[in-house]
Amino acid sequence: MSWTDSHGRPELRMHPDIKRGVASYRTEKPLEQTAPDTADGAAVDSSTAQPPKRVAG
Amino acid sequence: MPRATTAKVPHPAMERTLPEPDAIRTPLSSRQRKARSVNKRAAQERLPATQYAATEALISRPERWSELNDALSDAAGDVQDLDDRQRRDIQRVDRAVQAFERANDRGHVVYSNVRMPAVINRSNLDGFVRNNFPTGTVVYFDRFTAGAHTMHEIETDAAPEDRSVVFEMQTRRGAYLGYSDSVDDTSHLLPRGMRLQVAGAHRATYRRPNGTLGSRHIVQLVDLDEPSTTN
Repeated sequence: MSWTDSHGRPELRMHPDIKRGVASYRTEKPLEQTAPDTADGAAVDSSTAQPPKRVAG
Repeated sequence: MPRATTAKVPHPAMERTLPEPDAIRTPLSSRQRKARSVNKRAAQERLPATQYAATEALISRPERWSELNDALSDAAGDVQDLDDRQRRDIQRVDRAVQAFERANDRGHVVYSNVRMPAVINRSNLDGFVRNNFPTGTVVYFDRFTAGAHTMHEIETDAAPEDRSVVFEMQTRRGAYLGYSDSVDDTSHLLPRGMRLQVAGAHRATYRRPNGTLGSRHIVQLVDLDEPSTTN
């Protein structure tokens, strides 16, 4: 029998598609590796796969 | 942004640190899952109805997950730019996550998928990761982030191994939402507004519960905002 808390609520459970989904993030490179025009960092929405504005390195 | 509210770790052994690059990532032990499940249930027990409802809606309905997270992305994480209802629900989830953090006395290593741009394939993935995630790069999460404590659980066709990488994150933050050892589920919800630093990037091997092995590109990240709370 599934666990419920004392308020009668079922145990919180994450949907598998959310668990396996792709994260969305922004990056900011270390100063010595950041070109002047990328100093504000690059935003990447992984769910729509936008590349960073510029690839340093 | 919600602040960290992590409990003290009673023993250094209960911290979890990033594995060595050549270590095979294995499923979480039965003992670890049982202990985390006990803490999870204790935290849920104390959640007010409003926080429970907001959290349950966020983590169990993919359309709600997208709606709130997309709103956070559009506002660069600033809830003051959102409508009243969205702001209220996000702040309820913030407080629920903090309740889980207070109830937890262990460190976490959490895995999340990250998809690379469409032009990336098996032949240039390694170079792309090296160039875009050099050691020291700071990674920000404006949104809530979902993941698991094991790599095999996040395998999906939506993030194929030749066009995606895995963030392997060492943190004390967030809510363990997995089960005990009866179900293969070690889900974890990370709070919005996290800041992590790249500690390395390499290819890593992991073992599934059936004994077979898998391999993915990994970017290792360490939480920059977690307090040092080991006794």
